[in-house]
Parts: sequence; C-alpha cells; structure tokens
Amino acid sequence: MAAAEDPAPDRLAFSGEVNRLLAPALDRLSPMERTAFVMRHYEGMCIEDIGRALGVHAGAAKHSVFRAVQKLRQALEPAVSSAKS
Amino acid sequence: MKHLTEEELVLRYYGEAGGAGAEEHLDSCDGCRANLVSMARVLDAMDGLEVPEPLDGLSNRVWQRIAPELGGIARALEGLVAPGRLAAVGAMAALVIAAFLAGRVFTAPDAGVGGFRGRCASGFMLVAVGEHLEQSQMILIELMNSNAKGTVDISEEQQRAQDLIGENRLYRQAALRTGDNPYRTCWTNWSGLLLDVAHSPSKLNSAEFEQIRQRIEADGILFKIRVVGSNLREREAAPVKGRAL
Repeated sequence: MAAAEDPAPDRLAFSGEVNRLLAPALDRLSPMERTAFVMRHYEGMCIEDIGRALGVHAGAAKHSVFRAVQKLRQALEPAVSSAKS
Repeated sequence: MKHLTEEELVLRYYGEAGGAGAEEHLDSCDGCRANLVSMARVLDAMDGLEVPEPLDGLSNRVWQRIAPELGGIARALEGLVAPGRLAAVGAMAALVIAAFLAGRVFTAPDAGVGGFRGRCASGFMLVAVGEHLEQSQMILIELMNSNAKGTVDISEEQQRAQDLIGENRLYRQAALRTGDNPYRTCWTNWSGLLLDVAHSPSKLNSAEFEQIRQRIEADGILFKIRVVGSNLREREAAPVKGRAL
C-alpha cells in the first residue's frame, strides 16, 4: 500500500520547482509579512491570534498576511499554472 | 456588481469570516470563484514543503508573548518550542498553542513535565483529529443521502465544510510532511473535496450535485475517512505508553 501512495515523479518535480521558487519569494517578504504568513499558513493560527502573538492590531496582522500571499502568488503562480496546463 | 477583493479571498481561503455578502457573491460570480481557486492552487502547492523559519527576532518576541499565557503548557513545551524554533516544531506543538489560544486545551492530571508533554500533545491530537474526522463523515453522509432531484441546497454542508477547512489544512500538511504516512492520499483527496464543497454555489442542479457524489464514491473518501477514524479510536483507547503520532 505504501508504494501506491508514493508521490508520482511529476508531482515530485512540481514540488521541487515550487520549493525552488519559494525560497527567494520568502526572502522578498518583510519580517512581519513572513512571520505572519508562516503563522497563518503553516501553524494555522487565526488573524486575531497572530496579532496577539506579534503584539500588533489584528488589522496589521491581516494586512501582513495579505501582502505575503500577494507576493507569493505573484512569484509562484506561473509555475503552478504551467503544471496545471 | 462589486467583486471580492483579494483580501476577502484570502480570508475566505483560510476559513476566516469575510466581508458581509461575500458568500452570496461567490455563489453567483464565476470570476471570483475562479480567482479563489487560482489562489488556492498556489497556496495549496506550498503545503507539502518544509515549514519556512520565521526570522529569529520575531520568533523570540512571539514566544515571549505566548509563554506567560501558556503557563504550565509553556514549561512542558519548552524543549519543543524554544525561541527561534517556532516554525520548526511542526503541526503538533503548533496545534497545542493554537488550541490554547482558542481555549480548547484540556488539563492532564498527575503527570510530570515529560509525561504531561507527551500526554497533552498526543492526547489532544488524537481527540482533535478524531472530532475532525467525525464531522467530515457527517458532511459526506449527508451529501450522499441528499435527494438529488431538482435543485439541491447544500448551504448547511457548505457552512460546516467551511468551518473544517482551517484545521483540515493543518492535518493535511502534517500528513504530507510525514514521508511514510499511508493516509496522505486520503487527506489530499478530502481536502480538495472539502474546498470544492465550500466554494461551490450553495444551490446545485442535479448534474452538478451528482458530480460531487460521484467524486466521493470514486475516491472512496468516506470509506477511507472511516478507516482512519477507526485507527485513531484504537490508538486513543490504547495505553499512553508507546503511543506515537
């Protein structure tokens, strides 16, 4: 069963491409944007809790997440679109 | 017609409340739904990747703010969530923190620090994932048993799917990061279906509804979720010693 669940080669290649683009894209985020995004996307914290954790208003936390998503989307969308097509 | 802003779409993707009328607009606007799906593809593509480290200075600030509020949990988690390692601890400790902030952590009685850490984290994870799977099953069962003649209103199932999206993403990320996890495909299929249900129009014609049902059947999602849930219940009932997540 485990073998059947292994990722297909094209999926591995796609993940590698996204990973390659992700590092420089993350470097272009401000420290606040990067941390807010990691907390929202990878840690699953809600905007309000991110604001509390970072000591900023929820609006500022929300804006940081939005800006991060916007920048990451610009960087990664071409690779994701070409993989889909 | 006022389209949803990118900010509203981001909130919607993460399962947080969007602006008033956002749901109704998404129901009726193909353009906004396509934009949401396009954004979801990019963000979903990042799920299986290693969690990026936030910058050290901010990690320290985060920990200093959270630790006093966590109290005993902070002491128990110190080895896991040391400053500078916040993002590297993985979904388990993050879930404990997130659950604390949501007021959902239970107290483990009569345990030392090491025992408390293990029991609290693994016990919490099993209970939380079990609840998530039960709610997932309910949605699937209701969809499978709905009358598919004419227009089908799935707004209730959609609302519940929306409520599950956030935690579902965490579990899927954890499953994808675990190389030998035999349930990766199950989580991936269920996450995709959950998103599609949440982002579909709330009223479907019989053909559209039938597509969803066929997908549930073809992927065997309901069966797989039952199997995963059953395995979890067995682990929940097993003695704490030797339990591994």
